[in-house]
This record gives sequence, structure tokens and C-alpha cells, in this order.
Amino acid sequence: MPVEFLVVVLPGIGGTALAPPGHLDDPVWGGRIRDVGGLLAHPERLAIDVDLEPVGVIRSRTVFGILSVIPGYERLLGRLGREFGCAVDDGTPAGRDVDAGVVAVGYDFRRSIRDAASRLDDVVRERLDCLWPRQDHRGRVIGVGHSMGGLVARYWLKDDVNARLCTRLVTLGTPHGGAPKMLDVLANGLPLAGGGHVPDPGERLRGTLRGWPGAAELLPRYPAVVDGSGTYRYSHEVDVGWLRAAARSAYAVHQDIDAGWRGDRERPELLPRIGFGHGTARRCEWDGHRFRVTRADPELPGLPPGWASDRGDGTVPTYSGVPSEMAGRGEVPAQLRVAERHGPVMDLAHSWRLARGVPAGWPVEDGEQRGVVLGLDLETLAAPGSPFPVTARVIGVEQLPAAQQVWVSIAAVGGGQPTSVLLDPDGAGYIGELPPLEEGSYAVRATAEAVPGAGDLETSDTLIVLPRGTV
Amino acid sequence: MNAETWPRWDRRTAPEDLAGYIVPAAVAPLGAFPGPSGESRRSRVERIWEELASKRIGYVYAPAGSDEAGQLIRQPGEVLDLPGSGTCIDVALVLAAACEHAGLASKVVVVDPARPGGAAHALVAVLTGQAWPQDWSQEWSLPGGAAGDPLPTGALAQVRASWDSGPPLPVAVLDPVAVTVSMGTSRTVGTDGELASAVRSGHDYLASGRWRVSLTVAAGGRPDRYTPVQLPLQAPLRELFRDPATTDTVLRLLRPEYALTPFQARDEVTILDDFARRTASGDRTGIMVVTGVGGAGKTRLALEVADRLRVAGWYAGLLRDDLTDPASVSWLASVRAPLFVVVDYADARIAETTRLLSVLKGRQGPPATVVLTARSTDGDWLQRRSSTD
Repeated sequence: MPVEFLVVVLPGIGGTALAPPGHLDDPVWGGRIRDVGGLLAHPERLAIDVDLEPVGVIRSRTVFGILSVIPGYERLLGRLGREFGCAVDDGTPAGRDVDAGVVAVGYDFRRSIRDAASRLDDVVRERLDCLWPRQDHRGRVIGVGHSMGGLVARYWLKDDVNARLCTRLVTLGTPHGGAPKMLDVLANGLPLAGGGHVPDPGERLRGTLRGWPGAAELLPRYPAVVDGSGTYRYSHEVDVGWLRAAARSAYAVHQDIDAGWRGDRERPELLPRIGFGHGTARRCEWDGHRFRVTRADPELPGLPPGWASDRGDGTVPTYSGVPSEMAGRGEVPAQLRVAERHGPVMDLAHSWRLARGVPAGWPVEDGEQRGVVLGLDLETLAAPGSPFPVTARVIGVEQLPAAQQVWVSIAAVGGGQPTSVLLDPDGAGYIGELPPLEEGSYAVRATAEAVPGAGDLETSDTLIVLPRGTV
Repeated sequence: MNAETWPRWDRRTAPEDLAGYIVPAAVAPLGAFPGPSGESRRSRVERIWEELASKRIGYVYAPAGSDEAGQLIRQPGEVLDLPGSGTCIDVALVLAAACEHAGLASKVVVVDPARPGGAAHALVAVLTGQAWPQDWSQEWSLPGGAAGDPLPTGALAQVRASWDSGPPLPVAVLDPVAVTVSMGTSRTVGTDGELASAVRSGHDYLASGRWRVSLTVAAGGRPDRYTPVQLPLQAPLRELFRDPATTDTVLRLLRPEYALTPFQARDEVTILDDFARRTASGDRTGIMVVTGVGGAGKTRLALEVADRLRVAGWYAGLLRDDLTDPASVSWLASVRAPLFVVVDYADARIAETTRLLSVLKGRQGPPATVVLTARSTDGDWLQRRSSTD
């Protein structure tokens, strides 16, 4: 079957393996738990001035994506390959396949999305020339961007010449408006399940991450930071040395994207999808000395109350999933909200079919625009050896029966005996405690069966328990 | 895949073909089965189970037939309606089809005794969660007799041990025997009709260590499925015995089908029963003529044998004398269950008998036995039948 489209998959932050030039088969960053330990012990190996090259998307069932844990990209790539009936190239230099119709484009996520977009440009043009030599390539490209990858694609598509090559862009969990959680990470460190942050003596880890333009570009690009007087400011308006300049440059990048997508210029069809209902860092407070980032409602001026109660996908607030030009027009993208959390959104029941566009009469499927979700409050990074709380809430159902059960089970990824916890009702939600775990990655699954009018609700995610000695 | 519309299942060379017998489109019209919906998966499973239980499917131990070419699989209509019985594998395939029709993912799981020698058993794994867990996401198959433990270590950990309590694990493994009824005189263990028993039993099969999974096939796993023959509008054979309360005149109660007088055991029953069973494992239709004066008990004898065979999973009974649809008799050719047809007063029904025998010649199930009752062998009716055959 001839290849019809070039489907380009862009991973999120942390989703690309990075290796020193000349040692491409020995990556410094592979997103594995081992690498997380390495990042915590030797953050300077990933400092912005260390020369590293992207060597394909991470091939692992659990990827530490700095802001979240991602269940790997293989499944999405495989399904896209089947959907489009073509070969898949996951971007590893050794597995290069010029005939592939589905191509993962890894990029150095430490650098600006500008740089990543320039790399994307090189890859796309080379591939188009290979697949369809001496032809007009109008509309040949379809983009699928997860998280930060959606911003890279948006940046590339801001230029008319690129936009005409592209038919459609699907963004999954992309923080078009930024993620307060990134401010928490840069200010206080990696947040842990059960509260607190990974210890970061000497601010070595934060020092490294603060040097990444790519990290700053995931900061909220709206006035998110409220001070003691109740005034909301942009991050670059807060007088903090490490933040100000980086946040200003990042803001400029977003303004470039805005300018390209604004107005009535012809742009590809844009299908953003983002999870809702899960506890998500949204409120950023600045007391003149420290940032405090919480899951409380942000009370942003001008944000309609419905958006606040949408919460987010566990990493990115739902309102941030709306691209700026749509938000500017007061437009809510059709079927924006999905049940899946930030990492698993890639396995959204039909994300691979979305790349084909949304046909008329699209059937309502599990988790899609159902309006009911089992929201989970759980940080996906945990310390070993101590229990931690988990809370859940059914969003979108007025009254739940008293007998409604909500369970959370957790099992080692790759097959292990699950431990199941029946949560206790607690006000509007349910609360319980997960048992102490040792280093490893774990599949978390929350379920509420037979919810009146909504059927079975299920939310899953992956949890990483850090090695002993790092926390 | 075999070109036949409903071939034997060749477990030895093409075990994965089992998925081809999971036919939701054929099963759905045979009962009030739920369709796909946003309703809880658990309640959809419960509704399927109730509907199947209401069918009172008779549990049959042995397959309808098995030879070099493979095992006979009963068609859904035979399991659910005529005669309404099946082996664990026949019922498992119907259950998996009903699940697929309801939008529930399922797999048929074949288990063999850990120690060689016993018969295999079939279970149905139903996905009650959103997605198959890693260890259940692939199909597996062991060639016959191969050693090893193909059930991934984590697979059992995802299976519910109880239907009504405990954590909502994503997989429920149902033992289809629990939805059937025992047809013999002794009760089959586990046939109490309860879904909870089916879930407990299914879990126990995987957990006991006495069984090993040798094959799983997913419903919907193959696009090319087999096509069962549709049930006829009119059942070709009459119910074996009738409820005396249904008669309109007292005189009719003397008819054999009301069985108001106890049957006197006699050697002919054993002879006829044995003849039918030998015929089924042979290669041609068996014909037996029972003669005697009116009231001697010819029909009652045949009915007693038919009842014994029915209990063993046969489609057995009297050929109706009021059939208007020719498809009824033709359908007998496609019945996979062993077949035992009694033609009462055959000496007066030569055309019907002839047509029946010619239909049965092209039969796909095991060879049928036809019992012809007649007042005498006098006259030329038997010769006339032979010459037209």
C-alpha cells in the first residue's frame, strides 16, 4: 500500500533519549528509573552546556518525563502504523527506515522548542523528499504531539510554508497555556506523592533544570502567580533572579506561536485533547520569598468557574490544554476533555484514530466527552518504604449511592500481585492509603464500577518509586 | 481457514481457528442478549448470564464427535435452542459471542489437566476493566502435549476470585458449566446457575495447579468467522414427552408421549441404544425398523431410548408429522450433535421417510440413527423405500 501521509510523532519532555556525540548507543538519558536516580545524583550530566544528541524516543514501558510518568511511546507508534498501514520508525539511528510513514521525532528537550522545531523541519523535509520525490507535499504531514511535543509542532506550524504541508495536528495533554507544576519543580524540586519534594541539597537538580529553556517554556504563560496583595502576575514579572530572564524568553516563544496561529490565516486542523478531573497543581503563590504551588482552585481573574472545577490531567490544568487563539476567541475545542491522565492520554482509546480526523457522527466511547470521570489525586513520583495517601473523586455525577465503592490497586509493572485498597468516603471524595513500596515502577488503577448513569469508571497511571538513598 | 461453513475444529494443527466459532451475529437473535452500551460491564455480564441460565442449556460431557479431522463444535442454535445442550466448549463459544455482542472483550481459555489423560475444559475470560492487563493482552497457544507453564505469572493476579466482593480486578474468568443444567440423574458439580459460582470456579481452574492453560483465543480475534446454519422456523422433532395437563381428551393420555404408565425395562432398549451409539461413531446412517401390533409399545420404546440419548447431548425425538417448511428436515443435515430420529408409523409416511434419509446422507455431524416404527413389515413399503433411495 503506498504511503499516504507522513505521520510525525513528537514526544514530551524527557521522552527522548539523549547521548553524547560519538557514543550514540550509550545514552545519558533514557528515561528509566536508573536514569532518574542518575539525574538526582548527577544532575550536571544533563546541564544545558553538555553536548548531547537525541537518539530516538525512549523505548521503555515506563518513562520518567520530568513532569510526569509516561507509559512509553511504542504502543502509540504501533497503533498509528496499523491505522495508516505503514512502517514505523521510532527515531533510533540504528533503526532508520526511510520508507516509514510513521516517524517519531525525538529532540533535545532541554533546549528551546525553537531548536526542536528546527530539527523537526529537517526531518520532515528529508522524509517528504524521500517518500514523494519531486512532488508537491501539500497536506502530506499529520502531527501527533504529546505534552511538550505539541508545542514543538505548533511552533513549526506557525510559518505559512510549513502549515501548508500539514493536514492535521493532534495534541495530547499539551500545555498550550503552560503548567504550574513546572514552576513548582523549578522552585521547590520534584514533588512527591504524599507531599513534599525530592531533597535537592545545594539546589543542584533545580540549578540544572533552571538552565533548560525547554523547562521554562512549560511555565504558565498567563498571569498565574498571585502575591500577598492578590495581584496575579506573569512568571517573568516576579522578581526572582533565576526565573525572570528564562521566563521572559519562554514567553516570547509562546508569543511567536500566538502570532502565527492568530487571525484568519489558514492553519491545519487542530485537535487538542486533555484530561480533566484529576488533582493538578494550579495555584501559584508568591510570598516575596518562596513559591507555593498547590492543587487548590487558582481563582484566576476571568477564568470561568467551570474551568476551575475541571481541574486537570494530574500535570497540566485542563484550561491550559486550550490553544491561545481558541481561548482568545472564547472557543472550546470539541471533545477537548478526556478522562485519561497526562501520561496515559497517549493510550487514549482512539488517539491513533484521531490522527485520521474526527468523522461525522463520531461515536461516544469510553472516556471520551462523557462528562464523568474518576479523578485521581496522586503524584506519580514516590519515596520508597513509606505509605502514602491517595484520594479520588467522581466528577460529573450529582449524587453517588452510599454503597458506591471506589478501589485503587497497585501492581509492579510487568506483572505482579496487585494490592487493592478500598477507599473510604471523605466529604465529596474518597480517601485511602497505598502501602509502602520499594524502588520500581508500578501500575496504578482506580475503579468505580456501576456509577449510576455513567457505567464503569477507571483511571490508570504509572508510579515511579525512587531508589533508596535518593530521597 | 477451512472453506467449510462450520467445519470441525482441528485443535492439533490450527488451534487458533477456535476464534472462528465465536459468532455474535448468529448468537444475538437467539435470545434477549444485551447490546453494547455505557451500562456497567458487570451488569452486562449479569444480564448475559441470566439470559443464558434461562435457556436451561443441558451440559454434555463428551464432544459431539472427534476424529483425525478434528472435533465437532455445536452451532449456537443447537446449544441455545434445538436441542439446547452443549459441551463446555460449545457453551463457552456462545458465551464469548454474547459478550462480544454486548461490547465486552472476552477470550475463550482452554485448559488441560496438568497430568495427562483427562479431558480438556473451556473457560471464558471476560474483561470487566477498561483494558486487558499486560499479561492478558496476548493470545497464546501450546502445541498439544507440550510442557511448560504458558500462563504468565502475573495473569492470575488480575483475575477476580469473587464476583460479589473483593477488589474489582480487570478480568473475570467464567466456568461455562455453571450456566448449564445437569441432564443426567446425578447432578453435575457446579451447575447451579449462579454467576458467582462460575467466577469462583473459573478462578480455581487457573489457581489450583491441577490445570494448565493451553490455548486462549480472543473473541473478534479473526475477521473470517464460520457461518452456522440458521435454525428452522419449525423444530423437525417433537418434544419427547408431553405434560399430561396439555391434553384435551382423556383418551389421548394413553399415548406414549405422556408416559403416564411406568416403562417396563426391556432388552430392546439396550439393543437400540447401543445400535445408535455405534452408528454415531461409524460412517453411515443407521436404520432400524421396530414392528409390533398397535399398543405393543413400539413408540414408547423408541422414546425411552431417545430420552437416554438426549441426556447424553443428542438431538433425539419423533419426526413431526405436521411439518410445513422443508427447511426443517434439511436442517437436520447440519446438526452437529448426534441425531436420533423416530418416524412413527413409517409405513404410512413413505415420502417423508425417503426425504429424511436422503437429507441425512449429506449430514455433517456424526451419522444419524433413524428408527422406523410400523405395524408390520408386510407389504411393499420397505422395498419401495429402498428402491427410491
